[in-house]
Amino acid sequence: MIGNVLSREEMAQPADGRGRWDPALLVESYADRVYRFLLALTKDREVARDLTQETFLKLHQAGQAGRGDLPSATYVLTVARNTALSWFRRRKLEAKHLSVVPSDDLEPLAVPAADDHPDHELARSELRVALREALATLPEELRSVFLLSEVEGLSYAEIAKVVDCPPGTVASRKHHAILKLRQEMRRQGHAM
Amino acid sequence: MRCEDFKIKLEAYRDGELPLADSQAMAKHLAECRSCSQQLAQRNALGELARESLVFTAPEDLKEELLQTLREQEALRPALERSSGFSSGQSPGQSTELSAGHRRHIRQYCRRSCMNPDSPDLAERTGRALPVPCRIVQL
Repeated sequence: MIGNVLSREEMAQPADGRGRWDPALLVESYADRVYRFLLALTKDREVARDLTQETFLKLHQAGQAGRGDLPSATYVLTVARNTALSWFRRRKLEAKHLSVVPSDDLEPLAVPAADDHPDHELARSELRVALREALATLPEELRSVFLLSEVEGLSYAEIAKVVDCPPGTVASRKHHAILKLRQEMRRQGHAM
Repeated sequence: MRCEDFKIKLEAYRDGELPLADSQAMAKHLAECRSCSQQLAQRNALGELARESLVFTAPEDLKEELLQTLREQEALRPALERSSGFSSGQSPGQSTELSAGHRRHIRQYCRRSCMNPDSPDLAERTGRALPVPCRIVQL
């Protein structure tokens, strides 16, 4: 596991014998990934919490249909994304651009740099905020592809299933997402 | 390989999505082109920043709430399966102790689903046409 991203082998967990996904295993395996994906999409902690609850309830109900082993990351993140899109539609928000300013008080999994000089850490913190702000300016279809690839480690074929487009389109969207992110960060004064 | 081609394929190369021959051509170009090597280094730095910024854990209380909600849902399931619908004999409030998170979620769920019990979205979500939770559980 790298950065709480499960490998394919780690995802192949046994069911509890009753054809249902074990709640503890489901939460342990996917709570982090679902929450951070939904938070990056919606940029609202309370909404991300509610949508995470909704996603897990859907997963649990689907699991009770007797599907056996734990769901794949592709399936879980598809349910999460569709839950977010439903929320966007209900709120009649333009899903492409969100104006909520991200904060930098999220607990990172990454180990801080060995050079933990306060000035370095401050500059790094500003970069993290800048990246999150830049990410918030991306249209949802580019933002989702970036997150699913860069953060969740899905392959282009897996991402294609989640966002319902061909793998070639995934590659194109990722390319454009990076271009736009770098443009936006340069506009904010950070060369990346 | 031209630098322009390298830039177009850079993302797919980093993500391991290129066919072997293309990947080898990219690696060969990297060995020969300092500019593209710097391009890759900058891209890797952005990737590292993304992992620092965006890979984090969910709050512990949320995980506990999720687990409690799912376990309560499992505990409710035998009662839901036994119910034959919503006959007049059914007690309107066969109450059970639920977490605040679960009660909030069921209220939201029922506000959406009870308004249109025949909605295909509801059927897809629950596998049944009736908004069972709000009818059985006293919230």
